[in-house]
Amino acid sequence: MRLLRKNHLGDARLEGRPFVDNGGRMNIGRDLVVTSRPVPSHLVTGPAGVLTIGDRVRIAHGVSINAQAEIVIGDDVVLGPYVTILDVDFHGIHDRDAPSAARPIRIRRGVRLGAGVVVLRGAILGDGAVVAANSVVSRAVPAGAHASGVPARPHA
Amino acid sequence: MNVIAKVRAAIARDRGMAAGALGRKIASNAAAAALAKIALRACDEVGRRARAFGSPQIDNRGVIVIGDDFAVASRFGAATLATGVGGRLEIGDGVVINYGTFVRAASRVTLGDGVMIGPFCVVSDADVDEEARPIEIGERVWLAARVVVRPGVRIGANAVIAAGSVVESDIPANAIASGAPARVLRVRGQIPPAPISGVQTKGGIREAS
Repeated sequence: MRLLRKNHLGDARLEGRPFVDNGGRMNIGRDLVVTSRPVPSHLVTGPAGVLTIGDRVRIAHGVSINAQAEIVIGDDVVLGPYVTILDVDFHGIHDRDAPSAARPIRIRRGVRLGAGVVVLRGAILGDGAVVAANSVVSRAVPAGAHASGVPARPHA
Repeated sequence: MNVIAKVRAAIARDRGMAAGALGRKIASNAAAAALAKIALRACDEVGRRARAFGSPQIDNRGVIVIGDDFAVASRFGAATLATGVGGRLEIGDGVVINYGTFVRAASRVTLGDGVMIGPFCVVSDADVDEEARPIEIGERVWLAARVVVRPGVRIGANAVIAAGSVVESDIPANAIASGAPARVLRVRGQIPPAPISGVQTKGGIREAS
């Protein structure tokens, strides 16, 4: 792990150019792969945001990760195209001009997210969980579970 | 909202921002205001103070009318505004559309004042080879990320549609709806139909902290 400076993704292998806006901290592990073709992926941290990415993580194109509190992505995680991981809603539900509280997201080792999955604030995905395409994860998914749907529910 | 009030609100909101980030934000807004005049030129009417962050795709074979204070982002995928022949897309004042969103009016699509649409949403009033059915989205409705609104749907004012939802039937005003197909979880100011994550207070439902 090494602490990153702005627009610097360690020894990551980049396909195309991702958009990186590091207003907080990013800790990136070894052998990260980020694809940004045809649509750029973007990694953003707010002033109090910490994004931690483990080793051998693979990020497909069009992925959006925005950490205003904390997002932890474990080793060997695979994020499919257009996955969106936001630990904040950006607007209050009842008063849209009110700020939304950020809650940390934990994506444990070996998790696989299908295309278009949205992970919302406070979500926790256990080791090896698999989430089907276009699902929305807003709560906990147990380790090893297969989950799908809006919101995502684990099933056998 | 006039420019002075907007700037005042922005200063209050961005007080904690680092100087560099604030500078970049001001520059990107200025560039967006300049670009909007070119990027939205295919629209029939565009109100004052429009902003385009990156170039949206405008495919106008009918009529596109846009109110004041419109903002559209295209940073990570172009937003698309399209009308078919005879189609009419009406966008109210203060509407914000995020990147990758696709809005198409084969017959008629109406977005009320203050509607907020998140990234990668689809609002299209016609499927291929099907008859178009108009879509009406009320004032201050918020569609979060990746919401799909199906033909013929009407969404009442102030409703919030959660991320990833597919809206296939009408949603009442003030509702919070989620799922595929979207169901109403609760209506603000009412007692929720079933216990869900959240804390009930005297004034209504509040999010769990």
